[in-house]
Amino acid sequence: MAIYLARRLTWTVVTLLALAAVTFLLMHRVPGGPFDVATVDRPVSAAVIEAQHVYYGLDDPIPRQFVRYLGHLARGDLGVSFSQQGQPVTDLMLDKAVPSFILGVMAFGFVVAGGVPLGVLAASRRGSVLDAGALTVATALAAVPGFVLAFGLLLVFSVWLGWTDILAGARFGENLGSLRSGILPAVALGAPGMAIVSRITRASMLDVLEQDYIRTARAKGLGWRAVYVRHALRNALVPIVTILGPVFASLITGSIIIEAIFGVPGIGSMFITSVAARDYGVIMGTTLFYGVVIMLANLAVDLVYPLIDPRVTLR
Amino acid sequence: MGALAALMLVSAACRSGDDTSDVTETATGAAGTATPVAVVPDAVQVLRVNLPGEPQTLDPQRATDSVSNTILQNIYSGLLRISPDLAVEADLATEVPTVENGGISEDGLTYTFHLRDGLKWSDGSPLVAQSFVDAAKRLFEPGAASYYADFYRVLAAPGPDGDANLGVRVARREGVTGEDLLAREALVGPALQVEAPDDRTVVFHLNTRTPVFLQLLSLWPMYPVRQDVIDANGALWTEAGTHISNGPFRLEAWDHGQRIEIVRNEHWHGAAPTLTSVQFSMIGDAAVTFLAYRNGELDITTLGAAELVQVRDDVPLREEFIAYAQLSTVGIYFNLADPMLEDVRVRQALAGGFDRQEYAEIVREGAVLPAYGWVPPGMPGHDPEVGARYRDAVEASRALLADAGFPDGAGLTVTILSVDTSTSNVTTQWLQQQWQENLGITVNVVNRDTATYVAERTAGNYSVVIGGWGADYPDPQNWLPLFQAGGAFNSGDYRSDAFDRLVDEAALELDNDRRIQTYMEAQRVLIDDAPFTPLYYGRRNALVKPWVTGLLPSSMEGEIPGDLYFDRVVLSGRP
Repeated sequence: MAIYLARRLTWTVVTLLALAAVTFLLMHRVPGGPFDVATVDRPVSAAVIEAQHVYYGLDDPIPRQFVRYLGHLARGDLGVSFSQQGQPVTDLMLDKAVPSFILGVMAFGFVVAGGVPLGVLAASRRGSVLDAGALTVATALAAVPGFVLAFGLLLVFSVWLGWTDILAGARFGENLGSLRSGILPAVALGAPGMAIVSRITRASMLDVLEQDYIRTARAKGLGWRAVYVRHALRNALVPIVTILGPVFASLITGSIIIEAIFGVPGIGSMFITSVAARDYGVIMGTTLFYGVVIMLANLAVDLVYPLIDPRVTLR
Repeated sequence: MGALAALMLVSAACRSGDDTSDVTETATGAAGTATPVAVVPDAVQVLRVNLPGEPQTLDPQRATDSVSNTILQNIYSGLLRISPDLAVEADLATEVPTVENGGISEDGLTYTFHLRDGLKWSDGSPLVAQSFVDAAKRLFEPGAASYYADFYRVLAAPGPDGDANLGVRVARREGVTGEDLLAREALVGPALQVEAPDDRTVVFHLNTRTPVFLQLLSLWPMYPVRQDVIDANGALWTEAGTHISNGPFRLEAWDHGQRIEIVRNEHWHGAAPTLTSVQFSMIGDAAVTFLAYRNGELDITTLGAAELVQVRDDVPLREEFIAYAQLSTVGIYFNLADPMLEDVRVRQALAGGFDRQEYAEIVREGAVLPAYGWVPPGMPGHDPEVGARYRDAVEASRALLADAGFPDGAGLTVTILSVDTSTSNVTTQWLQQQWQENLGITVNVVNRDTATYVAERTAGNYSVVIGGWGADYPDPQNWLPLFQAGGAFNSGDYRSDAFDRLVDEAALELDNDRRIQTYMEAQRVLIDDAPFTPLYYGRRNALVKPWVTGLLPSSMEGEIPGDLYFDRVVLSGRP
């Protein structure tokens, strides 16, 4: 196990290095720089922009800049943000990553608690109206654009029913009470994931339900719960768990659209705005963050396999 | 190179609303000048409004965008302020200096201000004249990258090789850049002649007579600062825990990207605001803020085109609607380096080849006003007839094109470079269609994200960009010099000696009427030469809840209607 972990971690580091290199290169190749954007509205003298470039070392050749970046990275220094007046990237990201994480966990809860039972139900009543209904719901949730769903939820729950404020999202993460304002964004965030998980659950269940041991279980007269959950679902878990890894990763890194509409202070918007603003430190920081999250999620999934399927060994 | 404002500007230092005529259409009772009827204030005096985004900074000498301005104008007070009728009035100073009262010297080069008694900062410590000297010096710190520092190049900075500020202006006009220019800029700070002979007197020395200097002193770059706070905290002094200011409100909370809260400053010298706090959310989406307003969560909201249409059809909301001029102009900049646009006849033809009325009324749903001149309505120097030749001018344009060697538009190709936002796209596509249909020319539209757009624009890879300007202060001196040779917004190197001469003349003219007349002559030259042609005047469209009383919308405000005078707002009757 230890060897397995060591090997995985080594590969993770190698992959992240490659990710960093490619991102760094692309980032600097794209036209426009972090100080140009400010000149859209108001002219800034070229001399001052040049001076900023020199100050931040942006006039050095790219390989040298990259090596310098890696050096800082090794010491845990992600640099500073250009758009946010010199604030350290680590602070900025940590600030936003926490609400995103909490919201992501809530959305994940919705995905699992909604998607898996829906899939099991559909599989158990295959071909029935229930099955068709479940499939339709899943397809609709996956097809409806995030912002449409978000506005729909706001309209129903904030405007018509008045259960929450539209602007409540801005205070999300401040304290325990504010978690309530995360329910609607969590649902909007998790809807596509829930749809995917329900489809995969259904497909995997159908596969398993064909098996002989299920027929045996039924023949033994076991109840619904024993057949479908203890025997069938348990064996259907591998594909489900496989997809849950990346789904979790994408949920906790947030969505710029959901955050913009609900006003949640998450890290999702940082991914997009940093690119538009050519904020190099934040671009690298968020990309590496996402990379780490995905790698860890996949590792977690791989470590879970032996637990759900004793036939699997880690090598 | 020119720096041109992109069409869709959330963080423009100047508002791009619409221009109307001088009439302010207001809703019933919600806005307008103070009503004599006594208003019963609510127990809760918390105003809830929205900013379209995060302020770039709350450092007055570094701010360039109007989101930052909106907050700064409420948490700081300067020597002077702009009154609701766009005149200059005394704020921290005891009176507005004039030649008569001795505040301005005979030669117009020395301005003396006396501070009121008992001025304090938000932490209770006394406010002394030295803080204005500190502010002025900070403005010229080398590498500070503040565009607004250029407004204050009239401040004297005498040295052995002449005035350092004048030296910088000359260098810019001659196209000096790089280390050279930076070296010259570095000479300004140490030589700057702004003095505090005692704790209650501030003296400014100028290197040139500047009729608009008093207006410049009412702007945020001249707000006083606490140098000790900046020294102790470095770049992060603007955070809520350490920020010290002197205005009617002070910064209580700043959750980046989420919200700002400012609370009443007990140490402000003016009449205490009735509001105890103002809470700013930061939602960029107009549809969401519209919903929030309707849900009773916002007291004021601005409207995009889609929301404007909904308000028109909604009877109760119509009562809460206000619209007024925003001292901004947006139009089409031609790249004079493009050989196809060198001929003035081609530019004039293009300028007359589209229907501004249709654009304002149909494309923008009446959210803006058609523009034929550069200086917008509401600003001295506005001339409604200066661009008359471009009205209903399609036939004339076709003739001009034929004269210039492009019969029926054949052979003329124009590339429009634009930022990829929905408003820009609508505008550029409409313009493309207008030019193609009316003039028969070929038009390509190139859409890029903001940073690439800037890079392309700087490199000159375009024929046409859409951009504009919004007033920093209500005077044509803020507008016309932009097109002088070496001027900040001079696209494609427009060079006209006649124009430059007129603008320079006007800058020195002390007789205000003659000054304005000269600016208007310059504007005529500009509109006829057409390095730029106007498209629309900005207008602010907003909704204000009926319980917001005492709101004073102003064309000089920041992002929110009435934000220049939140200290006079009283909430009354909120359910």
